[in-house]
Amino acid sequence: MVSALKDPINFLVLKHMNKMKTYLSWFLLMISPAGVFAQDQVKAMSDIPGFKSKLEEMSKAVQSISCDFVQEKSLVVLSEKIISKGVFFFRKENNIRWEYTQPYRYLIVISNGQLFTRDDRNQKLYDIESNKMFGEMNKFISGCIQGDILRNDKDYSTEYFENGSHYFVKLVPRSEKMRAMLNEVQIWFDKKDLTVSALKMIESGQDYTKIDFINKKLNTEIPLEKFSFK
Amino acid sequence: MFSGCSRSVYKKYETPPLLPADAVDSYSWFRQDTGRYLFQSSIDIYQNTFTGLLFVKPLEKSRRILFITETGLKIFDMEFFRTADPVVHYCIDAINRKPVIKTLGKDLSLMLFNIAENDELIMVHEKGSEKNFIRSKDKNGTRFCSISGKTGKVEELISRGGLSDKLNIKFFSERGLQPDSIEISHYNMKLKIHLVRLNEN
Repeated sequence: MVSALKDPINFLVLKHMNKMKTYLSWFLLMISPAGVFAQDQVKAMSDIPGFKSKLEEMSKAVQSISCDFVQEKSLVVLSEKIISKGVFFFRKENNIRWEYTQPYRYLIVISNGQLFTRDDRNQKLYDIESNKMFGEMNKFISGCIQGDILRNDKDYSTEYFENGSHYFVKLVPRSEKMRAMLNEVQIWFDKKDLTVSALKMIESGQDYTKIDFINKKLNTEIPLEKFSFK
Repeated sequence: MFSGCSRSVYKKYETPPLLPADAVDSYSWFRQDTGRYLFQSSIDIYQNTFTGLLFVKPLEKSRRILFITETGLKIFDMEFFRTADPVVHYCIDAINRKPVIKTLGKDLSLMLFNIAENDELIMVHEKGSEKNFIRSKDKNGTRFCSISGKTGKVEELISRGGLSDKLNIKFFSERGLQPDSIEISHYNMKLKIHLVRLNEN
């Protein structure tokens, strides 16, 4: 790192890393699988157009989502898991708040074309619109929440499955570069209300990040202040 | 502080009995039997700050360190050995540059393996205090470690390589059982790594 700082090119790489890191974090955050559901037997989805249609309806009807989440980072080679917990809020259009409470407080807010992060020592504000990557990331996040991502045939090949309680969609990035970082994205939709129950992002090497969304409340009043940058 | 390592100059220092056979590891906070640690981490580099979780796991013959973002993205996964160069198991493209990896590897390696293992060890004791100082050398330069009499662990490490390469690592521990926080800083640049141990229970 020392040498890198003396080298302007490498320093730029490091400078870029901060933005890249946040982007990739979000990307990965959106792509992890669910252990609970993984134990259930899944079969090929019998009515894919029906599922897509129901998802479309849900997407139109849902104005807001608030829920708790449990994030599990699994380091397969080391047989270790790191658990984080927090609260999640979504309000149309594209207002998102991730509030980590464990193992420490960390906040991510996306609103009005900007991304804000804060912990007990630092806070940062990024302009999504001025950064193509952030723009894509934002589309990805809201796309997962609202199911729009399933229309993205260009970037992902998609497979559809189901079990008794859930629809399960597997997304594999088409880009080799993306696959080097991320092998597969799994999204689990609750059959009762078509909301996302879990996301799993499987990395190369089989490490994964899985997020379970629990205690979901739909269309409750979420004040806009929740998405302010403070 | 470390001028005390030059035994002939300062009379307030004395040479203690022979260094214990397992000295190089016994003073470290990260031994094979210390279990895993999870740190809230931030890396300050000029005007940029990178935050996330640093995971440290001792293995039988090595130590493994992973840095992930709060949201689970793996930034790097490195394995460290006492006498060999670190092995990079994974590193995101954005920072996968030789100089970056080299410096990061060196910093973290010194955090894990504080004392070089060779015949050039010198240990001195500060008279009237409980502190010991150890000087060791390897191909990367000279390391000076201050050993706390209270905890028996390294509380400060200074590494000097070339003229401009100088690194400082401070370990803080309230009860002396685990490192509560660690600060790694370079003298000649605005680069600082700050780690705060997280209690996962």
